[in-house]
Amino acid sequence: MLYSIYITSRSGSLLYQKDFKTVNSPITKQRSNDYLVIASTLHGVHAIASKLTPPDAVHNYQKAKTLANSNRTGLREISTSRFKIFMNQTVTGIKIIVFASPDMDEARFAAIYDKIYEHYCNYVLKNPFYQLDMPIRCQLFDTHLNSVVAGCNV
Amino acid sequence: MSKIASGYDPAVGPRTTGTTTVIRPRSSIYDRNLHRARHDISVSSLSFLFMEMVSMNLNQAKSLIELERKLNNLGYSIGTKVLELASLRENFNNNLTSSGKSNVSKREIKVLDILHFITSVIWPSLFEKPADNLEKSSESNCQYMIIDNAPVLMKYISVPKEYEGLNCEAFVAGIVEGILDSTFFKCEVSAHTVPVEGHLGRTVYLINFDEELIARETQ
Repeated sequence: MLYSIYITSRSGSLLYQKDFKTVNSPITKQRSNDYLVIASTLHGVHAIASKLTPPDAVHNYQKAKTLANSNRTGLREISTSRFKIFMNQTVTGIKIIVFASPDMDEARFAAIYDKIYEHYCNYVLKNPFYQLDMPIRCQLFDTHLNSVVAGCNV
Repeated sequence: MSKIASGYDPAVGPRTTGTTTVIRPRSSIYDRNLHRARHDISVSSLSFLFMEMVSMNLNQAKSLIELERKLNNLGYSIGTKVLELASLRENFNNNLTSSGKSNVSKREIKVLDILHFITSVIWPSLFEKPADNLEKSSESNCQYMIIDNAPVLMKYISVPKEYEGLNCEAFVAGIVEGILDSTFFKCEVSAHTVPVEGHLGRTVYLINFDEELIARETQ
């Protein structure tokens, strides 16, 4: 089950946020300001976590010479008894954050993340009316995201 | 070997000037065969190109009407050229399937024929699919409509509320207008979004023919 999806920019500002109505979802509606706080907090925690990565992992990371904002370091998952938070970063530093039910695992999240990322590239970045680092308001992106979520929340 | 003097020496007469280097012409688009059985380009790169065209004109235009006009003009210059190429290629295709070898393009002179040519020949050559419908307006004798349920260029574009009424397909409308104008069908073409259930991007290209033309047609 997917509860909500956040997309944040490279600097941690909230580009897109949506809660999905599901049965017994623990997510309650927040004030719009609080959504911004949640997004930037997660962004900050991710940055801190990437500094806390064990030296072994950093060594491997340097050896692989991957991009600085790849997902080798940083926060990937937060588990609670009632929900899980998954986050993943694209090569340009956009973060896609998903709130899901505890039965969601990383493999299933990876498939969902790929789809969200693909729709972001198609329907947001190829839209001439969208400006980078501005909130996403694209009707086609909404409808395709809804179909992804509907496929998970059956 | 003596040095070859430049210019004509009357004592020697005409002669060749040393060795000539063979200049191999670089292969250009003109060397390639015009006939192509299949031709694919990436929708993604096409979308990025079209996106830049729209956003560049969006920044320059003062109003939405001006933006549509600019897109229309861009399409117009393509339309005049694409007609020539598409009819030539169509001719190749006809020659391949039939035994009659004729390279003479038929020029359509009736309104319905040219519109049918656009929907069934030009459309596939540009978008890999025929247009979905061709209709005659019930209100006016001069109006015809080409209908595309899912325009290729609009695949990834969602027009925001503040630009309501704008249709980026004005570009394709310009192509149609260019084609019709260069075949001496004076007209104006505009694109309108008319969504229906299941086809939210459905676009109607409204073709407004000159009244003289319709009079010519009925003679």
